[in-house]
Amino acid sequence: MHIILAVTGVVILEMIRRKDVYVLLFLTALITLLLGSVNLFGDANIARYLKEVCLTLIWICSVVIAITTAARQIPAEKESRTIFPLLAKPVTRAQVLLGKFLGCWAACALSLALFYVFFCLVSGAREHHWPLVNYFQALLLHILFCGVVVALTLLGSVVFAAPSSTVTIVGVVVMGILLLGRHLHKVALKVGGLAGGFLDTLYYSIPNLEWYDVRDLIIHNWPRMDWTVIATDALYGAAFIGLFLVAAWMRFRRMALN
Amino acid sequence: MNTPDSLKEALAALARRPGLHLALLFGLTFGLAKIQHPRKAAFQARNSRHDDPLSSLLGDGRKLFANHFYTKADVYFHSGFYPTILDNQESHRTAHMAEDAGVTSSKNTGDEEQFLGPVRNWIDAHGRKHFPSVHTHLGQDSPDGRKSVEREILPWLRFSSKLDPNRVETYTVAAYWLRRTGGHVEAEQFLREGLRANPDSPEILFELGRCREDASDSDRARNIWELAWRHWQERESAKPVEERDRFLASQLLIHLARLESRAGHRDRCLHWLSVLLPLKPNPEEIRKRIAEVQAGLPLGDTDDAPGQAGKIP
Amino acid sequence: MKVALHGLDLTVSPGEVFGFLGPNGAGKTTTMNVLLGFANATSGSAHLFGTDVRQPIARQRISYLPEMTYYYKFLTAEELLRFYARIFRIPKAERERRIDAVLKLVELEHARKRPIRTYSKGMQQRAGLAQALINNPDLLILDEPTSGLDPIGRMKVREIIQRLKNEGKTVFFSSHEMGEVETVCDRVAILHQGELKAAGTVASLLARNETNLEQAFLRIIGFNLNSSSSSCTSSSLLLAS
Repeated sequence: MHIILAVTGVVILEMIRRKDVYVLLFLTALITLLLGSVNLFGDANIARYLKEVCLTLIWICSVVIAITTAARQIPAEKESRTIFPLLAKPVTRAQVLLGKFLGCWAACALSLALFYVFFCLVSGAREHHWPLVNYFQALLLHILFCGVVVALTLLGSVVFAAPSSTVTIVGVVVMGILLLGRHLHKVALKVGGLAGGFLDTLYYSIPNLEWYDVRDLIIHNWPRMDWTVIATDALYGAAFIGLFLVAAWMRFRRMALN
Repeated sequence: MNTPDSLKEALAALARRPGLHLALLFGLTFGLAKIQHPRKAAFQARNSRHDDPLSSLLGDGRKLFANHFYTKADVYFHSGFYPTILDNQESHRTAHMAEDAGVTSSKNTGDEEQFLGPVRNWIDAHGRKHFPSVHTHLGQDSPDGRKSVEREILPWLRFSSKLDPNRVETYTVAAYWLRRTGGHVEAEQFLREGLRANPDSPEILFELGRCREDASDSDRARNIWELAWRHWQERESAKPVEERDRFLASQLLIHLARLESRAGHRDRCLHWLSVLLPLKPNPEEIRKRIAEVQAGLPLGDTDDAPGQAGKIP
Repeated sequence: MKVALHGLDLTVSPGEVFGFLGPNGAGKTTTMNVLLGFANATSGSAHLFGTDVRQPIARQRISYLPEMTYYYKFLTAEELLRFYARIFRIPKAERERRIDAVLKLVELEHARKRPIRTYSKGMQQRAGLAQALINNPDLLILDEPTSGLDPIGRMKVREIIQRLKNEGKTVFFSSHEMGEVETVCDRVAILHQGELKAAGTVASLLARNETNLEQAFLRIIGFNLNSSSSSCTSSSLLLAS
């Protein structure tokens, strides 16, 4: 475990020293504050559109951070040859992979915590109302979402040749699932036949990432979710994380390092 | 001293001072911009349609965004419980926020609570716990129980109007909800903005009249509604009878009739009701109202004029 | 299919400084890759301290300095050493003491808090040497440790190797610098086209009319040999058992 945590620490340090997260946070804050300064019929208490803009930006940033951070881990180690002195230690490839996963996930979680603090401040300033438990639930689900995406990206990074391919393909898959995943079954029923069967198989096979997107509940101040729902989502997410990491490990352990 | 030599010395001195280079270049670009500015302004004046940055950026595609934002306002009206393009949209063909505002006739059919359909499988069942799944309207039964949150739809209507100033419904719906949330002055300003982009729009004039009515300015309300009626006639007379906007006509005429009834102008009230009569597919109610007015009773609320959004205190 | 190694049978004794020589493409790096578990032999076995190299625990007492390597650019030398020390589970107090000692040995104390991306090639090489020493290994596997270094740097590396030998460590390194190998090595092995051509002390490898290792090397590898091709088979590698 200490080896995994050591690798995790290096990944987190890398994220802290790269400028990506700060740039994204700055842009999110800038756009949110600009839109918040727009005069909308002289009413300074209109909050929900701002919450939506802020949360949408946070989601976009989280997808970017999760995918770009995870996509470059293994390829960068190979390209810079830092994988050799690492694996020359009593470290297995599984430990490297797990360390990278935990590091990327922790990095995402830390960034998200920052983003959500900003979101809390913005929404609280407008609504004068802090449903902290609801926000915490949303943050928890968002972190779980990032976990699944990071695991999927790590799998992609050991399958595809270049980080850019991984980023593109995983990005398209993730956005596709978020936008269309919920509707695949409906479309499958309408289409029918072989295509319908394929769509249905896809529907049941893909991780339902849209479950973790509870923006509408937060924006429109719906009551908090039942904790059993979140626990179920956590288990579901953990299952997919395990699946992707095992697949990544099976590929990585046979991979030539040069 | 030789001129070429002094020039060479000057150039050499210049080469040694890069700051001076920058200052000279800046001066040159600034001067050129000043010279070009009048020509650019003249060009833009000739092509004023393209002066708006959003038009330049998005072109006609801005109407798509405007439509999206208009729908977004209705999504907000429902606190997020809204069909996507892949769901059954029969119960949401007409925006409920417009329906409730009384600015348009409804084309909605089907059950507005059941557009998601029955639960199909365990994924669907579990998924529905992650997004709004109860039909509500803002203000009436908001999920957080707070009142006067109808204003949350206004930003999207504002953005929609910026992108497509020629969509009249945006102004009328927004004005209604602004009046509902106490923004009477803002409602009127917004309607006037809409009128600048859509001169003589009877819909906007009707809403403007309602603003004046709320402000207890009956004379002006009358004038505006009569103007709206004239513009309606000019616009609709060219259309076949079955395509004319009877909904707006009904609203205009009944509001005029009620205004005259309150002012004690029975003849004028009867005049407007008689103009309304042929426009109604089921005129029985109007005949009843005519009889009541003829009997000396005031004209009460009707389906076309259920009440006022909110009078100014 | 190209054969990288064929019939390689080698044993290195504890406390030895063992030179591993061969022209480019001879199979030196492949041998090291097999020893370190980066690549799997298609047949045969390799052991470190009696443990099969495929077990991660086999690498507990060794360290490795690759020929060309770039360490995590965003880390400082101190952080890099701390990271590797954590992998070896060195207790905190001991860890800090060793970091100080190793940085002093490789003369990187003045740059310990600077990110590695600001280091020169020589400094990076020394950082590499530092990470190879952090766990106080019993066996060091060095792949061309003086590659890219200036004469002073090469001298310092030789001094470090000599010092390690005096401490009873085993050093297994490959090099193209014959003079260096002659000076520090107890024994050498010469590899050519995947095959072990000769192994023994420097003196035993010299023929009657040869005065230095370079001459012996060129003779042993020859100039008229054809290149062959088959897979890496039947090799047995034992180090420091």
